[in-house]
Amino acid sequence: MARAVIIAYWELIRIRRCKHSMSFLMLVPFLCAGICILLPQIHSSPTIKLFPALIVFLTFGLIHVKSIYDRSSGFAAGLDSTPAAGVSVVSAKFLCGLLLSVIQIAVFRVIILIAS
Amino acid sequence: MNSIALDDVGKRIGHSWALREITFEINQGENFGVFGRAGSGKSTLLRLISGLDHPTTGTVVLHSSGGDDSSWLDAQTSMALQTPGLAPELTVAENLKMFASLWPIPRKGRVSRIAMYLELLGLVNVRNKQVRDLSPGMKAAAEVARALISNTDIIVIDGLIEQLDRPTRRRLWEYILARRRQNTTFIIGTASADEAALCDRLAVLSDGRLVFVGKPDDLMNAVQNEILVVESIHNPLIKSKLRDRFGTAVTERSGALEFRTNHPDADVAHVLAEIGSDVGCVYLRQPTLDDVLDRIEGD
Repeated sequence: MARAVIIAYWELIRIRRCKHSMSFLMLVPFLCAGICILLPQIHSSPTIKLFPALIVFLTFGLIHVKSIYDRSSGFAAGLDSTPAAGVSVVSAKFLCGLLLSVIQIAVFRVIILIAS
Repeated sequence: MNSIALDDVGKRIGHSWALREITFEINQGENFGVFGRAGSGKSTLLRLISGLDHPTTGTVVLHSSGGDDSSWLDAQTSMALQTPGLAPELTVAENLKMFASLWPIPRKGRVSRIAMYLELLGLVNVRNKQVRDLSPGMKAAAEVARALISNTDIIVIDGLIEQLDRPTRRRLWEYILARRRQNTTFIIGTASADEAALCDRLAVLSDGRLVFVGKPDDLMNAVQNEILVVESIHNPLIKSKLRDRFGTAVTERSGALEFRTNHPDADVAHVLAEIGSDVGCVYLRQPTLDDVLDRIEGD
């Protein structure tokens, strides 16, 4: 578990330094909130509850794309050659996805709250 | 004493065999080279030894006093990969910090270890540079540092040493020899004859097959012929003349023509007598490991 936390910590730093990932992560909650604000019928219907699920889906999608990139860059093989291979790496990705999803859902809710 | 034993190891990739019938042992504390041309199967073999991949046939095990074990690989082996396994967005120092924390190294000594490897591999000036901004040579150095920082008993370096600059290479070899005295096993994959010559023993691969295991000197002795070199050639037809006269393959290297000879003194005299006016310099040299590999590949 300790190794998963270490990898997750560095993974978050890597995401923060990657312009594309950061743009995507900033865009998602604003886009979702924008749709809700611009379409009042969504805002007042149960459909709004689907948006956090959409944010989680997109965030984990980003994490998945990053792991494909890690395979091509060689970083995944680097992790494989340490005792942290396997479960620790998957757990770290999950931790990252979870944390980023929580932050984005919070941003989404704050925007909705301010707009309403 | 522990040893790594490969028994009839084969690896199939897709529809073809990358490695076939590989059998040899690597002793503890040995500086073992895996030598061969690009595509000979060096990296595949090193990945099998490191436990990053599994053989299609045969076994890779650690013989120890406690019996044979193949689960040792992850715990005791660290590999520097040909394509560096570093996080491109992190700096060199951050990468080393991250990887050091993934190995069971006491927290207290980590900072000094990182500083030592940065110094050893000439990375002090680029320690705060992101890996993606480094030159290929610096990336290779950082990758070697990543493998060394693990402090494992077996360290595998795949084709990276020849990418380092000369002073770094010299420091690294001094370090390897010092670590060998502490019984650390180094397994070095290389296509460079200079690096291969520094290993205690070599496994020579050609087209996925093992063609030789032994000391570099024994490999050199296997080729008795000397090499006759003809330099400063004024006549472009010399190559075909030499081929016809001596009935042997004549290779061109850095503007000079070379061929193997069993009768060095007589052949030098023949060359001087017959084409002496068309050439500037004729001399004999001892074969290098590169020549031996050329011959193995040619045969």
